[in-house]
This record gives sequence, C-alpha cells and structure tokens, in this order.
Amino acid sequence: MAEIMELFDQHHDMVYRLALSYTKSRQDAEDVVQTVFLKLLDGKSPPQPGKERAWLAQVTVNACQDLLRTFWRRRTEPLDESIPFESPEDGELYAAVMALPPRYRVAVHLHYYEGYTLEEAGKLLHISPSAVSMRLHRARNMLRSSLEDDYGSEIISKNV
Amino acid sequence: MDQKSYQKMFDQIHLSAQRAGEVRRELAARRAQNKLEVTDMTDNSRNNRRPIAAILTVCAVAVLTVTAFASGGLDHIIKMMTVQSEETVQTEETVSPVELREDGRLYLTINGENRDITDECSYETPYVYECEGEDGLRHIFIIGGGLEETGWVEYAVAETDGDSNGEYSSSSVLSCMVSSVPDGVKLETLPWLCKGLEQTTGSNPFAAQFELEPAGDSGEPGEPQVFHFHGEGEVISDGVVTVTENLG
Repeated sequence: MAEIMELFDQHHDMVYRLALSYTKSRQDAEDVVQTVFLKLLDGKSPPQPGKERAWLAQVTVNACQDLLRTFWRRRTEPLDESIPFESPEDGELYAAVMALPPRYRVAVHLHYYEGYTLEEAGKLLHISPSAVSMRLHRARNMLRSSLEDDYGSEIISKNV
Repeated sequence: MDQKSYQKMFDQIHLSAQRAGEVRRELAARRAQNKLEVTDMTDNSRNNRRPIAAILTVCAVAVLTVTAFASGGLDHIIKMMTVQSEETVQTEETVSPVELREDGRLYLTINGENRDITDECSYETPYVYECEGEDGLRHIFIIGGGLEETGWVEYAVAETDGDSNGEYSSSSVLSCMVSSVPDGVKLETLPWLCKGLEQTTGSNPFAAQFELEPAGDSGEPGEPQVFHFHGEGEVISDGVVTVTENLG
C-alpha cells in the first residue's frame, strides 16, 4: 500500500494532466485518476519495476478512451476560468489546445509535454508513428490558425 | 505555440488537494475492504470456510507459545500485539472471519456458521463471540468498527490450568486485524476494542501499560495508521496488527 501511495504522490499530476488533455473535463480527469490508481491497487496486471510511469500513462489513455466512448458521458465544462494561470497567454493557449479534437490534444500532450517519441506515443494510442505525426502536424496548423486569429503571434512559434 | 509555452502552461495544472485526498482515502478504503473479503464467493465454500484449524495453521507460532505463559493472561495479549520478536506470524495470510458481503451486511463466519452481525457491532460496540477450537483452547473473537472501519481480534485462552480463582491461565493473540483506524485515533483508544477486551478479560490491558505512538503522520482520515512501539518495531503495518511471539 505504501508503494501505491508513493506512486500516487509521484504521478497523480501526470495522470491528471494527461486525462485532462484527453477528456477536456476536470471532473472526468479526476475520475480517471481514481480509476487508474484503483487499477494499480487491483494488481491484476501490475507494472514492471521501473516501468510504472509508462504503465500509468497507458492505463490513463485506455481509461480516457473508454470514457470518451461512453454514450452517456455527461460532463462538459466551460474552459476554465477556475484554473489560475500565471498569465493570460497561458489561459489562451489552454483554451486553444482544448479546442482541438481529442485525438489531437492527446497526441500533442504526449509528445510535447510528456516527451514521448512518435513511436512511443503511437504505442500508447494504438496507432502508427506516422499517424501520430499526422495528428501533430494538423494540431499545429489548427493551433497556429487559432492563436493567430485570436491573440496575435507572440505565443506562436515556428517550433511547433 | 512553442513547446516551452505548452509545458509552462500545463505545469500550472494540478489535481486539487481535496480530490487527491479523496482518491487517497478511496485507495485506503479499497485496500481495507480487500483485506476483509474472502475471494471465494460461492455459498458452499462460504459455509465451509475458515475452520479454526485454518487460523491455527497460520498462527502456529503463536499457539505453540501458549503453555509457556505464566498465569494472568491478558497482559500477554497486549505484549503479543506490541512486542516484536524474532518470529512474526504471517498475518498477510490470515483469513478474516469477518466479511462485508454484497448485500451490505457484515457476517462473521466461523466453523461453517454465518452470523449477520451488522446490527450488533459498531465503532462504539464490540461483538464478542467465543468458541472452542480444535486445539482445545477457547477462542475469543472481538469484532467492531461497523461497516466502514471493521476490525477484529482473535485470541485464545487455555482454561485447563486455571488458577485458584478459575481464571484462564494463559492467553495468546492468534490473529488481529484493524482494517481501518480513523484519523487521529490510536489503537488503544478504539472504543470497540477496549470495550471488547474489558468485556472478555475484565480489564483494559491497553491502559497505562503501553504507549503506542503513530509512526509519523497518519495520512488521510480513514487511512490505516502505522504504529510503532517505542522503537522496538512496527506493530501495525498497513492496518494489520503484526502478531508476534512473546519470548520474554
């Protein structure tokens, strides 16, 4: 139990952020956090030693996909005035990212935030690396367009 | 958008402390419940589950020491619960006699008999059950805590060598589990446990003899606490009292 609590302390924000980027709902993301760590507690398919973070990311993606497939998924939240970002630009970027389709959001998050390679992200999402690359390309275009239209170019970079 | 902007933005997003606490409590509760549930859910196996002999197998080390104890009895129970020695009973394998079933009722299952004790025990009130084991010892069960924080203690006493007052001559904790200790509550102040021990032994052996101290922060409410006994060893691990042999 102590090990699970330690993993929870270390990784709950990672799970939450990934789930939030996928579901776009804070409540759903919170539920996913609980689901993921209960699966860890359940122990039916435990992570290999040293692979806990990757295991948690995979289970998080699976849980989000299950959630998004659920017919009666009920929660939509306004984007989100309750997240106290340090700057307006951060809030604007968050809004722009969250306006992307879910499959693009999660690809962006896995690659640009978690640092997964195209191949690693593809394994997590059960798609090919080229499909990940395509989603990233389209996401960048959509973000570029969105941020240019709404907020100017100062937070846009040719890096992405 | 550049990568650093994206990372900076998401670095500011955290699971709320309140929700993190809720998940922690849920994890602790599930863990505690798992300890209470017996995996076989069939009625037949329920009825045949957990003869006393099964516990004696698990706790053979403790049983074997019974005759070595001097008269007086109940001090040994607490010593067994608090004094670490070289040999420790494998409480992880201990089968709980108490089960919270799908109907939401709490059952005590001993020697094939099921007793619905839901309404007979609580955080304040112990349910006490006594029976004679195959070992010839009298086994005493104290169950309390209700549905949410169920705990139980089993100990055995030998009546054959009673003293002049007819009291039990020796005793030994066989199994002991406190699945969930409420936040801020010490084991020795659990009302059901103290009352149960007083009821079955005539005194509360926790009182004044031992000072159990939580080992650091106890975590979230409802999470099992870990206690240390004056640095001599952990007596509760993950909510399970480590039953130890008293060689003293």
